[in-house]
Parts: sequence; structure tokens; C-alpha cells
Amino acid sequence: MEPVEHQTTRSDVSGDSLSPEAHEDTRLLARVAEGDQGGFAALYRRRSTLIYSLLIRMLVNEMEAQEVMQDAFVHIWRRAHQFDSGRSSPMAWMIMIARGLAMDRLRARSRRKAGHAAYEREIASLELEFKGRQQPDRDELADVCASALNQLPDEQAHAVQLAFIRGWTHEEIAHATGEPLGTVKARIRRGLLALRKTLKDYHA
Amino acid sequence: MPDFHSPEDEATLYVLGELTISERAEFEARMAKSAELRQMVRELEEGMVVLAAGAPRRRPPSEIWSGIEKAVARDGKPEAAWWRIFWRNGWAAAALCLAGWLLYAILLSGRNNAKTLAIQPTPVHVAIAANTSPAPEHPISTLRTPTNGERQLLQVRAEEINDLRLRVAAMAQETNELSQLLALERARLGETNRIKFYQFTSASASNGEAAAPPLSPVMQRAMLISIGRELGVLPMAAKTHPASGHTASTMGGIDFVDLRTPTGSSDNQPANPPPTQPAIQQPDQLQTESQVADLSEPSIPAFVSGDKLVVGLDPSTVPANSSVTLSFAGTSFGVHPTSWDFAMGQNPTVVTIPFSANYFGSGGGLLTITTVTGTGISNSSQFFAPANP
Repeated sequence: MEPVEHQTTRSDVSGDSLSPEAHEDTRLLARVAEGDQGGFAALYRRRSTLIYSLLIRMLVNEMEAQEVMQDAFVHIWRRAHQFDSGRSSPMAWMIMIARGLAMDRLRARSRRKAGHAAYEREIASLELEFKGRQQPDRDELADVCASALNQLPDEQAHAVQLAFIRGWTHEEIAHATGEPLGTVKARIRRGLLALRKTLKDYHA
Repeated sequence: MPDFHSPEDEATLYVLGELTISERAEFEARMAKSAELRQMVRELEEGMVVLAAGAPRRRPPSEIWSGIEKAVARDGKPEAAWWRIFWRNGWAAAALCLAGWLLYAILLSGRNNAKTLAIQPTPVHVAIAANTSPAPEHPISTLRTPTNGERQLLQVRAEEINDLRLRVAAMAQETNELSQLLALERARLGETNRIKFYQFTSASASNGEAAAPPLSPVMQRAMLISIGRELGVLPMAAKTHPASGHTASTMGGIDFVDLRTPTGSSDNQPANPPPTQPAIQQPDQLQTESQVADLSEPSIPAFVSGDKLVVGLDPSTVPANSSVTLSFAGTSFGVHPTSWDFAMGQNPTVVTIPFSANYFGSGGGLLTITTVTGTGISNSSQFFAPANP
């Protein structure tokens, strides 16, 4: 039987070890590490929508997203004992697993031509997916995070999305935009840090 | 690891999964020793989580959980919990019991002979063994080596599965490309002014108010090719002219010259400033200027696409083998003309210049073409197109 979905909240993505949501995820991962299927179902209930939404956005293909989703949670089941709360937040750890598997799929696809035309096409596609999709399941966390992304300068938002969601390398982005590699690197790093800060400010 | 990566860069590459296996291992080793590096990675990961969590919500179908449940059931318990599984299933107890029994047997054998040992009952052993999972009825049959035929069949099946996976991946890729194309086309539909066509007519003859004359078949072809290039249907390979920095190419007997700056920016600066700045007049002055050529109904087809203005020139407007200075200005007050130089060959030529939406102003745009032929004959013509054709 499918676990009932958990509605994510503001504190879900906080890396703060005192965050009750992060604490609960950590506790559930510990249960999963011990082979507790009830704990695993509870973890799926809490995090499946967020992870599936990310996979749909990365792969733009429901069938592939569903396959990767299944693989991701099986990986989480198998590797729960490797999770170290001192190094990562539980959400970041799970997202890294799911994204890594999705990246494998993206790399397995035919080699993209990372030129300017492909860059423009990807940006148009990302913006359309982001703004145009009907979102009956939108929740508070998604709103806060989407708002944080909207507050970034366009160049930063485009670079972080291309790198994180479409898996473009720094070199590919630099080549497509005609900008120095160092600029692209700094832009992505600052973009990620700005996203984190926006959310931190929001919590504050 | 290349030397130019700063720790910040490395941390970003690590979080995005861009490091190679060896780079990753090396970075993790350094991270284990550096609290600063760990903090940096954690902060970047938190940014990544925000990015992931901002994705529009999609609820996973229930079949996924069913699949996960089955996979986990097949898989058994997580790797690290092996000793717990071992204990819970009674195997550890059984093993302890066996060890105890062996110890007992060894101790006993020191005192009694083997025959006596064989008949010693071990009530504890029997009691704990009842706790363990039942053994399979035919353990040997489950472990038998597959025959050659079975191996071949398995290999064929594995190849079939692999082939199907590749086909599914190819189809998924195709679907992805089509959905991206669809997204792009949708985005383009929203841009009402993506490509806007103009026809510049001789300002001295009509002041832009008369109907534009029809284009010659050659110019129609030239403009069609340039639209195809603009839409990405036709290739845009071009060579950069070493002296001017302009890019130029020839396709189907049409020359294409791009007079934008080599970097492709639209900063409204001439790529190659002309030796002299041609005089630009307002439309109401044009009728009286004597130097304006009176060509027989010449017209220049043009279109605006994004940040560029593309104009088509042929021998009716520009003599072959002449040096050309092209100048463009809006008719609104305050819009300054800019100009570019290039050499016209024998072929009809399509020229691309930088463009900004405010160039046309409310009235229209004025194109001035000054030519100097090989024999030194100079001429200047002005062409006008209304802002809203």
C-alpha cells in the first residue's frame, strides 16, 4: 500500500541540525539503516513528492523519472547506513542520490551540442516548464524556493539551473554564453549561496 | 586535479558531481581534514536543496512505491544491517549454538571417545534451531550450475534487455528533444515581434509612403535563405575577415556579411568605423537634397530579428565591386546614426547590422548607402521604412 504523502514545510530544507524536520528525516534514515520498512515508508511519504518533482524537471520525461525514482529509493534503502548527519543534511543527501542517478540518464542520452542555440533552447524550456506548469500540488516550501530562484539575477538563475537541473558542465555553459570560465564558476557558486541565504533570511 | 581550481570551485564541482572519481576521492580526503571545506560543501548543498525544492510539485504515481516495495523485498535488508538481520532471523543464535556445541564436543572428546560424543543429545541446540527459518526442501537444486543451453538463453535474454533499454533511452531522448522544441516554439509564439519585415524604399522618390515595388526573384531567394539561416534551418558557417573583423560567407550565389562586432554584441558601435560620417537628414528634408540618387524604384528588403537588422542589397541599389558605407538612423529626435563599412562583390549581398528596438523611433528608419566604385565615382542614396509597415 502506498504511503500517504507528507506536506513539506519551511523548515524542511534547513540544514540546521536543530530543525525538527531534518531531525525527523535523520531519525527515519537511522531506522532505514536498521532495515525498518515502516521507517522507510514514512521517509518515502515525506520526501517522495519533492524528489519526484526534481526528477521530472531534470529528465522532462515521466517514464524515465519514474524509473529513476524507484532506483533512487532503493539506493536510499541500501545506503542509509552511509548517511552522516555531520556532513550533509538528510534532504541534501537524498537529493544528491536522486540527482546522481538522473545525471547518469542525462549522460547516457546522445551528446548534446552545447552551443548558443542549445543554450537558448534550454533556457526557454526551463522557464516555460517553471512558469507554465499547472501546479495543483504546490506547497509552501516550493513557493519559498521558487521565489528565491526568481530573486536571482537572470544570468545566475540560468547558470545554476543549467548546471544543476540540465547537468551542463561549467565549460559547456562558458562556451555557449561566450563568457570566461571563471565568471561562470563564480556565478554558479554565488547563485547557490544566494539561494541558501534567501531561505535562511526567510527562516529568520 | 588542475591547479587553477580554487577550493570554492572544487566544492561547487563536487556538489554538482562534476569531479572525476579520483578528483572526488582526493577532495573527500581533504574535506575529512578541513572543517572549512566541509562547511563550504554543506552551504552549497543547501543552495542545491533550495533549487531542487523549487521545482513545480508533481506527485509520484502509486506504481512507483509498489515497485520500490518489490525491489526492496527482493533485495532484502540494507547492507549495513546484515548483522541485525543475522540476529533477527535466528542465524546468529544458531551459529552461537553450533559453536557452543562444537566446544562442548571438543571438550567432551578430551574425556570420552567419539562414539560417546555421537550419542550425546544437546537439548539447547534443538530448542534454538526451532527458531530459525526453515531450510529449502531441495537446497542442492537451487544451487545447481546452469547448463550451457541455459547460459546461452540467459545471455540472449540479457542482450535483448540491453537492446530494449537502449531503444527506450533513444526514444526518451527523442521525446525530450521534441518537448524542448515544442517549448521553444511555444516561447516563440509569445514573441509577437520576433521577425518583423520591412521594405526600405527610395526616400527621394516616395518618402516611404508609396507601395513598395516587388522584389526581384534573386532578392526573394536571398531573403528566404537569410530567414532560413536566422531560424537555424540553414547553416550559418562564416569566416571572419582578418582586416575588418566582420564575418562573411557565400551560399547559393548570395554573399552574407555580418557587420556586428566580432563578439556578436549589440552595443550599437560600428564594427569598422567609416572614414567619413555620411550626412543624415530628417525625412522632411530629403526631397530637396540634390545628392540623393534618383534610382528607378529601388527598394531594399529587410527584417528585424532580435538584436539585428538584416538588409538585402543588389546591383539596383549598390554597384558591384564598390566600397560601401551603410548608415542607419531612426527618425526620432535623439537617435544618432551609426555606420559600417564593407566591400560589395559581384553577388547580391545580405548585410546584418546591430539593431535595438528604439532605433526606428515613432516615425521610421532611414538607411543611407554611400558607395565608391573602383573608378572613384561616389554616390549616396537614402531609403526609408515606416516603423509599422
